[in-house]
Amino acid sequence: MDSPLLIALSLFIVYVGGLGLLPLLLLPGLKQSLSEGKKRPQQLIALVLGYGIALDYAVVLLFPSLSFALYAGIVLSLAGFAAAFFILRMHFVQLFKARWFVWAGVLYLALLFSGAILYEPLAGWDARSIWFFHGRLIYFNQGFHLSLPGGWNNPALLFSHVEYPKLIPVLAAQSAQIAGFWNEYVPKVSLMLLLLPTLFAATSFFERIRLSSLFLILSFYFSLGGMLWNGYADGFFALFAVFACMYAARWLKDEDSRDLLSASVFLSIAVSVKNEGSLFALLLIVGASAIVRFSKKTVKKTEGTPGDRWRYRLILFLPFLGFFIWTFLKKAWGLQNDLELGAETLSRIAQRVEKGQISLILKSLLIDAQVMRAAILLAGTFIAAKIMRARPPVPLLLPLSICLFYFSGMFVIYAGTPKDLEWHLGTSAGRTMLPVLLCLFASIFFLIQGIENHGSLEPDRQKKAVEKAASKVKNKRKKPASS
Amino acid sequence: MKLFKSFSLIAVVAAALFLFPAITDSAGYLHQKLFFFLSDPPENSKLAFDLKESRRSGGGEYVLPRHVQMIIGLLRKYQASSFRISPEVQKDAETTQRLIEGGYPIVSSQDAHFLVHLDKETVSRDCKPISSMNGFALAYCP
Repeated sequence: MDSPLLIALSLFIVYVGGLGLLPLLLLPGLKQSLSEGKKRPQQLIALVLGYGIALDYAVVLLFPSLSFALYAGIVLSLAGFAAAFFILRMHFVQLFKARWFVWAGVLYLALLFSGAILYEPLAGWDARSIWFFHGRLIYFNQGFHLSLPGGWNNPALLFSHVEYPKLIPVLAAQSAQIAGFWNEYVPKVSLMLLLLPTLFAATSFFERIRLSSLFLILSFYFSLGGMLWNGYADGFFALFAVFACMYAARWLKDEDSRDLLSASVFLSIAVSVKNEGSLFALLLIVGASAIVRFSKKTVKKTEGTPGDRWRYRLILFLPFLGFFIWTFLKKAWGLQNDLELGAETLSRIAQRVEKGQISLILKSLLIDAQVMRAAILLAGTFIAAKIMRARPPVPLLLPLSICLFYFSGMFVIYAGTPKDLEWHLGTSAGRTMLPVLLCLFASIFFLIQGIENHGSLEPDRQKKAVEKAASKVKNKRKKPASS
Repeated sequence: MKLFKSFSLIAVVAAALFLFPAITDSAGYLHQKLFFFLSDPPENSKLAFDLKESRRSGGGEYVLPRHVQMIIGLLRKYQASSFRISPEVQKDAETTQRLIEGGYPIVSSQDAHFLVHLDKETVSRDCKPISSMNGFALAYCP
């Protein structure tokens, strides 16, 4: 089928794949972990695609022209593939040796979403007026420097929240550039590209098909309604933010450096998709640091030489380059947020408390945005797990505390909004609560996994038990030889 | 205990489906889209139309309001590089935003000769009417 959308998507996947490989090849111990056939190769694929997307954003922001950035990116991407074949050689194949259900699941879900994402034109208000309008501006101006008088500060553009992060617009503009034209379908290739790493990430949280995996897929991908295909950024922001949180939670338990890196890459995409990403990132970093500090946990140092450790740190922070460049450009161009956060926010909050509008905010966020329903489901699952004395494989402290503080943060933002409160809540509460909903779903998922594992040994305990049994057998064999 | 375990697992997933009807709605909608060839002609032909539209530059603009499509089409026909929107039209946020984003790279500028106004609005005598639809009109004001 001669679909320019599918051609653009295929080329884009290969392009970001090469880009993502380049920094990851510097990762200490990558070849060794591939040769050992370390579990969850799908996590590496998610990492490669995610890293590629984050780097591509930085490359476009660094270069004045979209074409020049794409050519530079293609050179880097080819270098990534060449280096991967040269350094990893046959181990490269290990990347694709995920279990059958991972490939089947990812392909099926990608195919399922592709119909609605690629073959429905952009129609939603925010999709047209914000995200894909910015993409259109970048595409037709071949970069970030607009030909309009005043650039991004042109009064005619102010309705469009020009200070919003530009990852989705950049990917949309590049999709059109690869396809060779702009229409109301081509820029949505960017959404398919963002969907793929999250699908691989989702499958990296289960080892086989169980009810918990079904719950994860249903709650993360189907409960968001049209948010993953109508061109709004909220669904993708929630997915990337919550996967970052899940990886960070798993890292706190297992201290696998790959989890920390995955958390970093997914978080870097979340902060580059929506402004709320900064709040989420702040909570995640503070939350994880606090857990490490107060649990008196000693974080295992990365193995290898001091050079390896510096390399690891660099790879950990590099995905945030695009976010920092955009933050700098925003300041330099004087692009301002319309929420008017500052001292006046406090007086607006006080006024709303006096007017008794707090209950309206709580009702919108808890009831209308369905947070209460998820909380009830969590409570029920928690009781069932408690009765069985089942423990979740990952401590729930991080996702639950982030959920609570993020909810509180959004509550304060609504309480201090300069806009008409009812209008602001009515048009956005359902979307802004998605990260809270997904954090609650993630906690329920971990609890279900705990219930499923109840009675059977957890993977790490299972490994220890097997090792113990093996050493016993070894000792028994040695004894007759010595006697 | 094993029975309770199986029961509680199924109950959680069932409760999720009950509490969040969007799950089943979305799954149904997406499957209907994927297996469009099994559905009846209206849905079937809509997807065939979208497939065709997706292959051409500017495809899919049918989602814009009819009068916006008409105005953008005329601006393109006259090879306008800019247009301005009258204060009365600016009160209609949807029309204004769809004109600005849908018409780009034709830009909205106060110095433009092409004026989008309401039919009932009085405009300068020098302006020449071009066309009108649904109460909106396009004029050329040299």
